[in-house]
Amino acid sequence: MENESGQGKKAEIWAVGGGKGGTGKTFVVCQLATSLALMGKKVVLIDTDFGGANIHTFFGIKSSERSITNFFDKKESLESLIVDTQVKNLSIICGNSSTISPSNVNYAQKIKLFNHIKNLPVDYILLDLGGGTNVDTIDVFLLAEKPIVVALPEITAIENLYQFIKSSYFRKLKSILSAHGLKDSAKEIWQDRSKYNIVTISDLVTYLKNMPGQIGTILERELSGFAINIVLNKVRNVRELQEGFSIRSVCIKYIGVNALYSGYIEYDLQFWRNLSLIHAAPRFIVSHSTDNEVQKITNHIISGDQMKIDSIKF
Amino acid sequence: MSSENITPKEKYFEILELNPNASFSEIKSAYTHLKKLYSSNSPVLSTIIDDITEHRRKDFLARIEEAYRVLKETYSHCDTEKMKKNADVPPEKNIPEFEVFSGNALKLTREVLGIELQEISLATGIPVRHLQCIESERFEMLPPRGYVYIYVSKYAEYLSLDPKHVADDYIKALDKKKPKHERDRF
Repeated sequence: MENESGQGKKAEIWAVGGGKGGTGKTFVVCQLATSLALMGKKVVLIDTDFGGANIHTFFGIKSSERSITNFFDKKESLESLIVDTQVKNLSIICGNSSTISPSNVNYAQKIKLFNHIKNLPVDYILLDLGGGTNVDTIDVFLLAEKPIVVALPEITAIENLYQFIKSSYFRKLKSILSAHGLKDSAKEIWQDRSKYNIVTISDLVTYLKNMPGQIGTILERELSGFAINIVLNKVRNVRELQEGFSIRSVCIKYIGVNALYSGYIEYDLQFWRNLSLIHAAPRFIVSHSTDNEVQKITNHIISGDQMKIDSIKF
Repeated sequence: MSSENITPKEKYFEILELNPNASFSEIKSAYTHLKKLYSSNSPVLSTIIDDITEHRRKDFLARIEEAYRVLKETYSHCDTEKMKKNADVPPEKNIPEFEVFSGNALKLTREVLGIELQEISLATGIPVRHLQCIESERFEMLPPRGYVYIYVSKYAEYLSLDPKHVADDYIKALDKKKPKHERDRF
């Protein structure tokens, strides 16, 4: 994974999404990026939250003229838009919060962005996808090596999270089937699903995997590496903490998506108190326990490991 | 996630959402958690429940039971000594005996049980810095006496100790060090 020499493996992409606004995706992605940078990794953090750019504020950087829309509108190179932060090894590309008319970035443009991103001479690229379950957001989410979702231990956030994950999984399935010319047959089966005793996407996948022919092998191969990393934010007590395990279970058993409970972050009062000071003291100030929690999450995501179910006393 | 190429035993680990090298402690915790989750009307389930029939939930519960039953038997064939270590031993048996409970006694007990301060903070609502001061007996950094009594009771209770005994001991020590005339209205 090392890329300090600029040669060798391409950068690994971590994309942070999750469907609902206000869950703390930007907070989490900034924390993860900082954590990686402090481990000595070269990181670029890109604000792809079109319409809700905040990352520059988290680092005390003025909303600048040099933002990602320059890449799309003025065809400037990505490298020229990279801005250093006060954290060594960590740079950002700001989103645009100063224009009146929001950028309308389509899928083709996002793919172009993605191709350029992949060639940046860094170890990790982190993307803040912002909220929403629109198709473009999901497509970028699915391009990441490490797709990460941030959820709150709260019923409406969890509901939106399931929606996001279901949509992502369905989209991934569609793209795999399309690539192998199997989309129409799958669509037919889905439309007649009650006949086949199919209720969920998970059922559909099981059915397709058991069909004679190539479909089963192809799906198995393409889907086996797909796992979503769950980060639970603003946790206030042990009961909420354990919901991470429950959410993971529902993803696996009902949606049919492999998921990892990468970790949780406690509600950090210190951070909220200090956030208003960011322009005056542009350090990213969190409590000591948040630091530890973020480090744990970062290590879990890197290693593919997760929270152990017997580490929490219920 | 195809169930075609895996052994039956691996399948049981998969049902309990564990790695095949999971310990018995993990198996037990996973079983307890999943059984509780799928028997309940948890908000985690309720928003997706439209997609699920009752039959499916019952089916999951049955498979979870079976998985636990089979895996438990496998472990009980192992060295019984090993299983004793992993199984749920009542905390009283592991805790060192103290006559008088000091901050340090609490800390030692907590460490023997392998509990982090953060866990206690999450469960009791007591800030970690106060727990640290309680353990190190930095009385001058703690809130008024009445709060300290409550904090120590809650802390002790979480460790399955007698909250009154521990808190009484602790306050006695605090009163000795901190002169009573100082802000002792509580």
